[in-house]
Amino acid sequence: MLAGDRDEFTVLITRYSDPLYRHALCMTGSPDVAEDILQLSFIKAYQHLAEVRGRFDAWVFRIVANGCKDWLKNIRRSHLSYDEDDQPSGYATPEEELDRTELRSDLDVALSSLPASLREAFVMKHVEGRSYEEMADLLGTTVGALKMRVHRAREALQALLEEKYA
Amino acid sequence: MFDDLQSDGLNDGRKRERPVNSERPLADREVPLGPPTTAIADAVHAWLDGEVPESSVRRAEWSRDVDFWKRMNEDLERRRRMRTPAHVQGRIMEAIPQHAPQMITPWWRREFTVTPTSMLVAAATLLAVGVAATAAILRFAR
Repeated sequence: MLAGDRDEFTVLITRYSDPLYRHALCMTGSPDVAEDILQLSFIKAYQHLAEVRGRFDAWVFRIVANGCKDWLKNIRRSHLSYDEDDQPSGYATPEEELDRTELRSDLDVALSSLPASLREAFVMKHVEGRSYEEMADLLGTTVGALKMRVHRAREALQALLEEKYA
Repeated sequence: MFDDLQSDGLNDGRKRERPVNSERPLADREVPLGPPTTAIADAVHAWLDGEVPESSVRRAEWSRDVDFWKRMNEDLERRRRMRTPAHVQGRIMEAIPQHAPQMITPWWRREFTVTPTSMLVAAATLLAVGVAATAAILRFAR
């Protein structure tokens, strides 16, 4: 790949883009921004392939995660939304569909109100389904610290949303 | 001096509920409180972490928390299925440079090829440096 085999790099993009896109989308709340961060991250990864030490997916995750944090430092968003995924709707009635849209929007707003470190930990745990050990490895911190962040994120989200959804 | 953490009888793993006074001016507090929080029992966190089954948190006092997180999970489940839009991969490949990725190697890690010419140049340089250093030392000694 270092010889410039773009096809091999395409394989890497196909393999790793979905979890990275989910991370960027949940962190920024914007599909356009998530796409831009993903694109810039893969370009940066391609240009610096020679510097990869260890696993490629962990390395490119850190590039994406740092891209999200940089974006969050510069931009504060009050309301966030994103397009539907390609999955067909499993809801039978328009009322259920409306409920789903409302929950999604409320959860987006609640997530956007969390400090970036709590949001990142919550998204990695509950959207990306990573173990605490894997998260600690990727973020360079301890399992205990990450558990604390996820617990605090849950408690903050519940405080914000339980009146409406509990 | 210290509070007895079990004195309120909450020895079932549920944290003490701490009221959050968000109206109190920030300047009055030693540390900013951050977003308001609702205490969630350790057992419920353990269930959310996948460490214990749902049956172990099916107790009346936790049912509100459990129902809340099952409702949240409906949306989180949908987020877990999200895919990268199809056009993004093409966009990335179009933006990637056509040339091979640049190898940036520090000079001390680069390979040196020894040729007769480079050997002669190195020897001459060392000799010149040695002569200059000796001359400087002799001049200083006088």
